[in-house]
Amino acid sequence: MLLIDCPWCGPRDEIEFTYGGQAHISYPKESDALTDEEWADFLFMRDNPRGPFRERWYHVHGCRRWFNAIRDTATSRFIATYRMGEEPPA
Amino acid sequence: MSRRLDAGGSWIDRTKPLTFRFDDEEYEGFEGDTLASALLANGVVGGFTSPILGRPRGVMTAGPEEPNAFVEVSEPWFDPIVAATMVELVGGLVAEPRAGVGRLPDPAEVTSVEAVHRHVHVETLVVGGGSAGRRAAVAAASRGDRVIQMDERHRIDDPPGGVTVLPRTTALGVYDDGYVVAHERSTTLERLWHVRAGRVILATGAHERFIAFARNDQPGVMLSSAAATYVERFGVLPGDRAVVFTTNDSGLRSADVLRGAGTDIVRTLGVGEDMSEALDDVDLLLVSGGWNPNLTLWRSIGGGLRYDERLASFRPNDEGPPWLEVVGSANGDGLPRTEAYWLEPAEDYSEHFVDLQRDQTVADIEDALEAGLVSVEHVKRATYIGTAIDQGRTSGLLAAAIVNQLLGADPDAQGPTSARPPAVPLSYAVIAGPDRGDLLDPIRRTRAHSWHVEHGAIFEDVGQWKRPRYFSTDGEEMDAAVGRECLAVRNAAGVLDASTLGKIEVVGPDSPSFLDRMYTNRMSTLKIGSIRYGFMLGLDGMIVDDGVAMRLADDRFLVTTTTGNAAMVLDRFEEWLQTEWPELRVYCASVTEQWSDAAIAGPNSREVLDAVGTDVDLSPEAFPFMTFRDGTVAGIPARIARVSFTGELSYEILVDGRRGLELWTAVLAAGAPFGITPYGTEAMHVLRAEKGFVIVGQDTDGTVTPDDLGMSWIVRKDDSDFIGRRSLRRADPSRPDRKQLVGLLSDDFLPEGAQLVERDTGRIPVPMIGHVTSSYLSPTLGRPIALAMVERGRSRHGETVFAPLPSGTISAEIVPPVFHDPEGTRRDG
Amino acid sequence: MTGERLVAVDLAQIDLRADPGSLPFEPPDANTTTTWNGRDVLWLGPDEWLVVGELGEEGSIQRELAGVMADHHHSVVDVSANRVVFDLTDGLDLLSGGCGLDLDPSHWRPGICAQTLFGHAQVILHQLDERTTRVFVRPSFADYFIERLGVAQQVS
Repeated sequence: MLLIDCPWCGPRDEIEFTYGGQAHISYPKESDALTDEEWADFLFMRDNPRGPFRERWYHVHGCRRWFNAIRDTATSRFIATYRMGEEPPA
Repeated sequence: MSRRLDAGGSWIDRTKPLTFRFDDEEYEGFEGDTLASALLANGVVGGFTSPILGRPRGVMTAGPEEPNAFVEVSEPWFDPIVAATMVELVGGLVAEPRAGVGRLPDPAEVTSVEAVHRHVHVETLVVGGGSAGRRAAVAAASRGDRVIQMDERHRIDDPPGGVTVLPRTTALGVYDDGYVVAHERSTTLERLWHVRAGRVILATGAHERFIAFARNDQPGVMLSSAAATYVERFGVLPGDRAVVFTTNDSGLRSADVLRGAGTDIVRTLGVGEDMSEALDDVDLLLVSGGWNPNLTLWRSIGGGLRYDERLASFRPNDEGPPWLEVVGSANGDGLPRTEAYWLEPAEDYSEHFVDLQRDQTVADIEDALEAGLVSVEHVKRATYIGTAIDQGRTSGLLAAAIVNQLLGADPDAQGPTSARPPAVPLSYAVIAGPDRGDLLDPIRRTRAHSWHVEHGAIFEDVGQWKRPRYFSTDGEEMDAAVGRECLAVRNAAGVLDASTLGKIEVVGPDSPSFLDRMYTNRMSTLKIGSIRYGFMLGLDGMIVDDGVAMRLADDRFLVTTTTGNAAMVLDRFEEWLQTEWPELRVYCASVTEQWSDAAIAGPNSREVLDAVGTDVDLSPEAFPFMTFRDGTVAGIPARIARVSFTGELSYEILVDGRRGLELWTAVLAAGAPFGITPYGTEAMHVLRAEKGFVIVGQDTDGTVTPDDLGMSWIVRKDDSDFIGRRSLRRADPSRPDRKQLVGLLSDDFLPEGAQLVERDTGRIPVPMIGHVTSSYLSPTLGRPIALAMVERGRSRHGETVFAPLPSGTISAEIVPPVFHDPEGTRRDG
Repeated sequence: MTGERLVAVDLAQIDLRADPGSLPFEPPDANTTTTWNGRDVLWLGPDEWLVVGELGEEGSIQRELAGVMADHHHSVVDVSANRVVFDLTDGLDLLSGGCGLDLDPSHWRPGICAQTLFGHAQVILHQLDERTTRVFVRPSFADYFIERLGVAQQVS
């Protein structure tokens, strides 16, 4: 049971959250300019690193805010959390 | 024959005798005994059997590392399998030996206390009630920490003040971020603790080491410190004549204790000496091969090991989480120097036991090595050593050391395999705790539920909700009830409790353009007071939900969703607003239960609503289809919406959620002269299918576009963006052979899910061209009807397809997916 | 154990969403409460609050807020029927049977609130005073909440 540090609420049990996949992938504004392959890339292709990974999380059973996190995928440990719209910490 | 000493035993209270039953015989013991100590006190030697080979076994230890003496306890609680050394003796205890696995009892025959769960936060958790644990607990408390100290035994000596002390509490596993789950049990209580600790200190001690020699599994073989514990703690003499084998000072100390209590120590053996006749004329063989720090919990969270030559054992290394610490003998502190000696050499290793619970010997390890399995992980899987209830407490390190030795490797070449949580066996009932029966998943009911129950509703689960599926009185069968309800809606009036549908208020100057982006049609052009039906697509262009939007003001909408998707749609709205479009001035609020909803449908609907009483002008000119009006109904402030899922004239009445039952009963009372009939979800499904209205998630499955359903009219034609638009522009959604919604008419009833084929294609295997998505006996048409998704369906009207079923093949004609009132003339009454 | 008591209360509840800088009162810190014109204001999120008043006050609360917030983008929604409310006396022990928050009085003090889970139900908890926890739960989850809580004494 991970303890996740919501940027608004502080540490809460992981069951209060849902996972939102890779962070910092913006919805393309001019999607018509993308080829079908580029569009599929946006829809389905995600990085899968071993180590620190920037992810989105949603505090669905708490303050209901989306936020970002840097988490080590090998150890499951959270390195940092930061508010939606903020720059990721170094 | 009593082996209870006349004096001594720091844990027992000789003023409190207890009776218990073991293996159908009655015995006496004292408060403070374990079941094992009481059995030994009564002179029970052996009494147990090995699980696979059926060899006689006896108590070998005084703690959780016990590999032999397992019992089923049936009174005063039920425990399917537990070590007798860990069973606290209580009056009326009934136990019998179990070898290997527990059994599932008939629930009626067991007495059990329901397990409660309890969350608690502390700054420091100490696991272990010994002196090292005590020191750590006291230090933490003096710093102002909230401290819990737990120990699996029923007694913690000299408990510290300022600390919450939990005896009888076994830590089952250490998880992320200081989360520890522990099981507490007494006669009156069974509790699963969920501890969130800032720091966890493991003071879990060390187990004396067992080694492999011929027939080392016989009753009478005991770890030397266990024998001393039986004397000192329980006042029990485990034997009269003993041999001691030891590689270290502990064995000698234990021998002193026994000698002082009256045991004749006949011989002391050391490394390399012949053990083969050791038990011949004695009744006790004490073994001390050294000490192994107990690191089950350390390893369960990924802590690593390093070999210590002085101890000839493994200690924790530095690679554990920063909040976890190991102290005392669990860290290797204060343990005696030991020679590294794992097995007594012999020609035949077939009775040199390594894992007593698995009946595995050194010979079995040899076989695995000979087969080429040189990793301890592979040896473990091949022999099952370390996988039994005791989880390798006496066998794991021994097996790894023997593997190293037989391969000629260094003693630290491979370490023991790790144990997994739970550290001791745990019943599912305890894990479940209160999450069982009706509490396993919340049962959600509408405000009118009690009325439904009183009037014969048979319920179905829609998500977590109970919705009436149909109403049956006087034993009416489902088909008859549903038929009656459908005909009532078509010919008179029915009323449906629609309160479970999701409702969301969407507010703000950008709410029109926001909803435009979320739905396929333009909600921004909706007039105030009007209603629009829309599809919500995924980014992949596939339908995920449908619903209606009511425009309450320029900047305010009430959006409805299907029952099962209420939370999903609101979450989706928030996701886009927070992560992609924070500049949009839109706020959403869930109002699903702010409203109760009774939907009246049928040609008499207007008369019914009139009779219920409303100040809204119900004439069709004043109140057209797909509009809503605010007013009162039955004296209750209400919103009435003209939407129809049945194709009949229909009024959906929304009132304050708390007045749902009041509205419902008013409608039923006033509507009686007009034949008002409560109807359920089954009739609703039939009625909508007769009109060809789809149900998302039934006729669609995440692979269906609006055009597949013949509903491309619902997708806007201009260039403005909505979620799913780009995907619909791929070639694939326009593929001519896509499955399309059709109707099917057959003489026999088609099961939902039935696959459809064209006969006589001459191809094997036979290609499936579609499947049945919805199927009902239509009371309106008096025959079966079905909806299906079929390749090129829209160009196949009039063709025959076949559904091969185990009971035979059914043929069906493909028709347009509307069976009743295709022009939609009935909807205005 | 014997002091635990659950009482249902009827209250006006208004969901308010706005930029925190545009509120007619100082917004409370995250997961704390404040008062405004005699009503409790519970922080639900950085731009969402639950305004709680006496039963019957729904209309006046909405009107007052609409008045002061007229020039700012905001949302005011009556949610008085969307949650039922219970006042639970001496119930923190029972709540910790299904809630992973730190409910120890040293940490969980009067004035604190939280949206969280109790068992499988979403709840809002508001510690009113040393002994009273106010619990907001969806009406359809109320039966589950009561049964799961296991309180001996219950007053509707």
